[in-house]
Amino acid sequence: MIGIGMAGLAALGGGWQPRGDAQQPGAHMSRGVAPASTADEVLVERAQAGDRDAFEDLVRRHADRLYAVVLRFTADPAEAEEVTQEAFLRAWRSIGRFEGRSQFFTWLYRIGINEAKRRAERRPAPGRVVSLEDEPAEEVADLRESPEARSEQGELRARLEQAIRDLPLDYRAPLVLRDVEGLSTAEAAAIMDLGEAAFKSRLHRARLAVRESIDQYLVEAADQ
Amino acid sequence: MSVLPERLQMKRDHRWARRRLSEYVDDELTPAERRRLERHADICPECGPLLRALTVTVFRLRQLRFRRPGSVAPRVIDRLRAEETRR
Repeated sequence: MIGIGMAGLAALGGGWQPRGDAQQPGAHMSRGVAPASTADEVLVERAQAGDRDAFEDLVRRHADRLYAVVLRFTADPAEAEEVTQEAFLRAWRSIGRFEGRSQFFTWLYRIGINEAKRRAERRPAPGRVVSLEDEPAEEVADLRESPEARSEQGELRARLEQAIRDLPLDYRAPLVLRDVEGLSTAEAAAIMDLGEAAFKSRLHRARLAVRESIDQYLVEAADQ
Repeated sequence: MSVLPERLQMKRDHRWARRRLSEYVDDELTPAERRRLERHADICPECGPLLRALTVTVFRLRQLRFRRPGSVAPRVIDRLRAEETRR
């Protein structure tokens, strides 16, 4: 038996929790005991009736996560924040037309990612290379690791972020949504308006490209 | 005697498996498909290492999720309120 895949990922310490996990970094949109989608539905209904407080609750639930996603498509954190604000403004203005055929966050992410892609395509030259490394991030240091190991992990993470940014936008989005953000294939494909087969094909190619970049880094690191 | 069919089978499995490595990592194969892919990856010098490399790559990508930039929600709300006032 090859002994990897889901079991292997769990053994590596990264148990896959696609949905419904708590409010930890990386958690999805759930809050309290109500499933995220149900709570969103209630808030969306109220927002559609003109309740701005309900829409602000939707902002609180989704803004930071959307920001983290668009940060990987924009030139810098300021532009990412602008895109996030723009996405919510558009969502608020057209909330009445949201028919609930998809989940709210699917709709919202589509607005945000399309806006980020539009701006990226208009940009004349590749933007400054920005990664989440540039942002203050909440992270618990693993004190079991030596400083050297932590530094290597930091370099590897930076290399990963760079490998993601080197991907063409149409390949970057599947990888960010599926692997980094942990959406399901169906959710991520819906955001990108792609069939699942086309989505999976792009995701696979993106993973291969990232893997190649990481391999190069590991070879270089071993040579030093 | 059976070498040729075995080679053909291996080739067929290889083509089939290469397109499904990511689905294996994502646990999106049926149990029978998983077994078929694992049997092939166990003996294929290309697919076995690639599958392990993909698994590790995806694991590392998932780790990035646990780094979160600061909160922007309050400023998004401020902007929404400002736009409302302007209208």
